[in-house]
Amino acid sequence: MILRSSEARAPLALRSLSVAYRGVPALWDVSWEAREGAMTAIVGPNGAGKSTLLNAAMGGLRPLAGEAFFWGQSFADARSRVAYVPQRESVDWDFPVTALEVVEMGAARRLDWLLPAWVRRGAADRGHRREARACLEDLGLGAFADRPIGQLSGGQQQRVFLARALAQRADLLLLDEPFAGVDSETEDALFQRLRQLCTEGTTVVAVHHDLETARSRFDDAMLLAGSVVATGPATEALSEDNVQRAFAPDSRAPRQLA
Amino acid sequence: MLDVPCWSLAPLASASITGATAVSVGEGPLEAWVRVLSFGGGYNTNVVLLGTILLGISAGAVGSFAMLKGRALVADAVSHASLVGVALAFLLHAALGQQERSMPLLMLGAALSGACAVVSIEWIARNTRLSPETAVATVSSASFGAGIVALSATRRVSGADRAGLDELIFGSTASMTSADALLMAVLATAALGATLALYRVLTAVAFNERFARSKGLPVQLLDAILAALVGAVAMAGLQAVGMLLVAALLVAPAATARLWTTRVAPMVLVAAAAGASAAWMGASLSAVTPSAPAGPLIILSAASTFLVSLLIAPQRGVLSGWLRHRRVAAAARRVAAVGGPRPGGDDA
Repeated sequence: MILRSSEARAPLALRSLSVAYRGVPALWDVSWEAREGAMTAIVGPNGAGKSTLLNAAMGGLRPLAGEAFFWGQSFADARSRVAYVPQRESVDWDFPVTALEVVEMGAARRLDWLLPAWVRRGAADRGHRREARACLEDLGLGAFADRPIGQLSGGQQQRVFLARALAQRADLLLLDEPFAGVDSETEDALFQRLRQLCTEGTTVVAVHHDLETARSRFDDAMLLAGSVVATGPATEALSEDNVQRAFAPDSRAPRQLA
Repeated sequence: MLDVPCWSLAPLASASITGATAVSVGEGPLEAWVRVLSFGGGYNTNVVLLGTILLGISAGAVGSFAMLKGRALVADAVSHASLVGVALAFLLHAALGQQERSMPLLMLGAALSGACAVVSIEWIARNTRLSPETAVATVSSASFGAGIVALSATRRVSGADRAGLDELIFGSTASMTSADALLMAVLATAALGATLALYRVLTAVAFNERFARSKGLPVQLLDAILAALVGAVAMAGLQAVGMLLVAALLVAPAATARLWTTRVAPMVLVAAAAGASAAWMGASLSAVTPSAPAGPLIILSAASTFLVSLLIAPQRGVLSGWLRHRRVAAAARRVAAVGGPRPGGDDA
């Protein structure tokens, strides 16, 4: 496999990625590279394939064609450098687990999963707990560490998930609608935290639904409607013209199939 | 519940209650039950009782994860599907000219048909737009239908001992030998051990499958392992609890435990304890009431614990919810009447 040099460097590079559900295309021929240390918004109408794109890049779905590279590697080889925050709806919020335990799942390294609970009393485990607690405090949730997640508000739940991603100490954050159900004050705080991570070199790619904040808060944007409508600096990619094209009623039909 | 009716004592003298006499002369039914409960029922009774308790512990733990994964009903499908495997294994055994009933062979048949059921359910759930619920209901009843047909075929086999077959449907500890109990105990312990060893990964996958996959956990393999554990418990409970009821032993203790706990580890512990006590109560009661099969008694015991928990559990119980509602309603009425403080305010 021959990689272009930019593909080999980019935290996430998609090359001609196409995905279908039961023979219906959801993503068509998507090629794109994330810029290192930048915040990129993936924007598009419902059913544009935004979540599918993240899912397929991480190998959760088998693409019809195309590939995804993380720093030139496959996801399997790079996964320790990638943190993923799934959509709110994909999670059972009544699950009997505390905020701290959720964040600890982020801190766990590969081998830890195999060790049964009663072996995990060592220094590494205490380290993970400390690390998880620090991440919760980082996002202002120190007082909620031992609460069952079901008792938290939507915004607090979202912050727990972001804390879990922080605990992974990843170089690339893939966030699926991280601001869903979050009040504007919390959204502000989260954006500031993400921005700080970016200045430290982390790359952030977030599926985002709000055009206003996508333009004002993100560096780059990918406008998606089944296939790529526009990419580039957020304000340019999300110009009125482009947005109108992406959100037009028939925009979802991949042109190649028409 | 404590009172064993007199008519049930009549056959006691000649009954094959787990090989030992359960009720001594001049002993009341309650005393007999207490004696069996406290492991004074003789060697064979004790072995069966202990094996059943182990089964209860294992079912509670495994069932907790099945419930958290949203796959509690799979246990039901596995147990219903096992009938066809049991009947076919019996027919095969008889066709080979064997007279004796072979429990391991019947279990193997049950395991195979149970596995077929799980694979079909997962396939339907993943590859069609039907809900997992629909898949479970379809596969469960279809395979049970096949099981009944196969069972009726066994009636035409003469000479072979098919007495045990009916017992496998509703469960009976009375005919269990200590070897049967040992097999049950070994299966149950193996399932319990595997569950505890995989505690963290099973939790992670049940909580958030996509995240677990992104962390590199083999989600599909773990799903298969959980299904296998459910199957192992169902096979282990085939004889004592019966194939129709073993699913309830997986679900009821877990549901009970969820009412009392807010974290996975305590939930698994409470579920194991609830399963153990249901098995202990039910199996010992059945030992002194030979006309009542163990399976239904175990399940009734588990169900009554669940019912009581449902009423009185803190937070999630019906009673506490009702009291909470009353308190808030009273506060709301006061506020409406005189303009008092809001709930959550400084002096509320």
